[in-house]
This record gives sequence, structure tokens and C-alpha cells, in this order.
Amino acid sequence: MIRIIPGEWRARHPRLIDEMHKLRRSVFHDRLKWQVTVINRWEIDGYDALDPLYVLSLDENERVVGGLRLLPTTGFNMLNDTFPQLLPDSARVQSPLIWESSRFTVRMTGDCRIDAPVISRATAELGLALNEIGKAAALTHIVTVYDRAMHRMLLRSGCAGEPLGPPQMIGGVETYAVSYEVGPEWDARVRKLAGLCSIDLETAVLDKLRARLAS
Amino acid sequence: MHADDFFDLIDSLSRADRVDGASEIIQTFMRAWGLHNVAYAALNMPTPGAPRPLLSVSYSAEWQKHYAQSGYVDLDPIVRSGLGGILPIDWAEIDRSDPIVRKFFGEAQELDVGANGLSIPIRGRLGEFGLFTVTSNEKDAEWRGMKKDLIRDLMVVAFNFHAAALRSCGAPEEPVHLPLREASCLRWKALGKTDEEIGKILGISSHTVRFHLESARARLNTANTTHTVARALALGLINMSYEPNHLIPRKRR
Repeated sequence: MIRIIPGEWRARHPRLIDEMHKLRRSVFHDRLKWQVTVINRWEIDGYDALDPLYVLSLDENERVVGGLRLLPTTGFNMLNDTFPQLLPDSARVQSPLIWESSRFTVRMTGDCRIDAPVISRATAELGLALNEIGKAAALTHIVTVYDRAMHRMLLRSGCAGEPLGPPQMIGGVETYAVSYEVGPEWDARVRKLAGLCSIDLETAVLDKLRARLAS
Repeated sequence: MHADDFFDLIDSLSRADRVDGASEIIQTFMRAWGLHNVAYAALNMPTPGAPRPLLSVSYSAEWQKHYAQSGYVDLDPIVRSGLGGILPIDWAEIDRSDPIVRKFFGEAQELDVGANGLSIPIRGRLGEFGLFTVTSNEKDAEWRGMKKDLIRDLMVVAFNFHAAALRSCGAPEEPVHLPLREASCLRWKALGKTDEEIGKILGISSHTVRFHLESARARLNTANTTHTVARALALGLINMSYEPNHLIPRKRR
């Protein structure tokens, strides 16, 4: 199940926001050992202060199993303001029709086999939700920065974005800036991945999108 | 939106350097698209001295007066969900279970604001943020269809309006620099290639070709790819020689 939380409404969803920051800490800090700031068991940075749009994937017990955040490229965002070396000619990409997704994460356990359906479902749900949000906001593309491990995982499932340039080593991590085109083709690719699990993702995502301003 | 109209609107907006001027330009176009009012509000604008808010609305004087006297700025549900958010807001999606919100929309409609509305949040790189709104008196079903057709154009209009507002503040405009990939895509477009053909030439997918074309369009504040090509040529950012741009020595003046 997808839950969409505008950053300025985080106080209405304290448990989900808490779980998201802790999940980010366990993935980015504890497991991947990225150089991220941890405050009071939360991984949190300056972009969280800009009230991004949070997109969370919840399991049947309403626990956060994955998430990402969206920011328009016209304002401050990670690609332009933290990783400009990933941009072609280091020129800012700032279009009202291109948003940035960052801090994409899904819960991992030691035994990938046991958690595999959960991981694929969360990844697929988040992918479909991104496309639906992209359509709702009339976007052409979504740009994102991720590492080599994520790129390989998404390449295997046929859902990798296309790199905008060669990867760069940042903080000891091979890092890519990639773009996705919003539209029906993306839906088809993600549904192929979603074929691994049984729920009707489109309905779940659309219902939550429609309800986003009612909650 | 008719392509010719849209081009004319964006082209006129790109020369506007006052907020009221930009609003007048939009008002001359919007009746033809079934739109009724236009409103723009921005906070933290880089005006000389200290940052300050900018406001320009085409609403009736009665509504503006009533809004101010009722202190509606503090409960306006559109401002509350739009300013500071990032998703475009269709007024029809706003929760009206609260009687105060119902009263607000009722009075707004009575004082000719418009039956339906769409508000587009804006965020800028100087830390400014704003909300661009259009309203319509079309019935709900027509409005939904209209919105679907108009929303992408309106996103572009909103940001070009905002660019005019920034110019009105005297914010220095940075010189446009086209990254090599964007310049290559535009040059092949000028030579009549399709996105797929350009992708093959450059070794990237047509998706990424369109990414570069959209990025270049936003850089040059244009309406579409043809407009972008024309402006890039006019500004000397691309030329039609078959040599790569960066290998051509610049002419001495």
C-alpha cells in the first residue's frame, strides 16, 4: 500500500515519518555505510527541511517497508546542489516538468529469499506511484541519483533508468544520475517486475492518490 | 491549448518584466481557453533591500476586499495546501467537510472567483516559493477534461510567469549555457531528425533525448522544441554547421 505525505503535513503522521527516517538510517548508514548524518536514530538531511513529497510503501500491518522523497528541480535538490558533478557539463537541470526522487529505499533482511516478495512489491509499488504522481503533476521525467548496487538490482529487473553521464565516485560509492520518462512504457516495465507478486498495484496506488488531500 | 496561442503567450511572457504586465498578458489569452481568473502569490522574493511577498490577482474587487476583511489569508484552504507543497492542487480535491471551508468556497463563487480552480506550487533556486492559480466557470465534467489537456501547459505558464516576476524584482539573469548534450539534441532536431534517430546517433534512448530537450526548453523559457531550436539559433547557442560546436572558432568582433 502506498501512502503519500506532503512534508508540511509530517506532524499528522508521526509514526510513519519516524519509521521512514529509521529505515533510511538502517539502510544508508548501518548497511551501505554511506556518509550520512544520523540524529537521534534518524537519517535526516537539509532536503527533508524543504518539505518534500514523501512516498511510502507500507506492508499489511501499515509498517513502512520502503520509501522515497520528491522535490522539484526548480528549487534546491540533491542532484543540483549536492552532486552537480553527476550533471552533464555540471549545468543545473531545472525544469518544472522534471522532479527529483531521492533517498529511495526498501527494507532488506539478511535472507533476501525470505523478504524477496516484500522487496519486489515495495519497489514495484513505489515505481508505479512515481509514474502516477508524474502523470498527476504533468511531468515529463523524473531524475534520481543512486549507487551501483541499486543500478545493478534495477538492471536485473529491467527497471533501471538511463544514466545521464558516466558514474562518478562520491564518498567511496559509485554513483549514477539517471532519468525516467513518465508515461505508459514505464508502467509496463514496472508491471513486469510486479508480476512477481499478486496484488493489484494500480488500484492501490490510484486510490491513495485520490485520497491524498482528504487525509 | 492551441499550439499557436500557447507559443504567443510564452513568447510574450518571456518579454514581460512586471508582474501586472505578465498577468495582463495571460488575461488576454485565457478567456479563449475557458479560464476565468488568474492569481499569483510568491513569498521570499529577492526584491532589492529585503525579501518581500509579491501578489497579483484578477479576482473581483469585492472578493479581494471581503478576503482581506475576513482575514481569509489565515484559513484559505488553497493557500494552506498549496503554498509550501509541490503537487498541483485541483480545488475539487480539497476536503470540504469543514463548514468554514464550505462557506469560503461558497462566498468565493458568489463573488465571481470561479467554480473550479487549479493551483500550481512554484519553488525557485533563490529559496523563493509561490502559487500560481487559474480558475474556470466550466462545469465539473468539462473542467476535468479541460484540466487534463491544460495542466502541462499551465505548469510551463506558471514558471514563465514566475520568471517574469523575478525579472520585476531586478534579480540578475544568469547567462544561458547549454550543455553539449542539449545543444547536440537541438541541432539534430533543427536538421529534422526524430527523437529515435537522435538517440541512435548519440547512443542514448529517445527517453533521454526528450529529457535533454525538456531541460533545454526550460533553460530558454520556451513553449516547445521548435521554439527552443529557434531561440538557441538566435542566441548563437547552436549553429547549423556539421562540425561540433565546441570545435568552431568564434568569430572575432
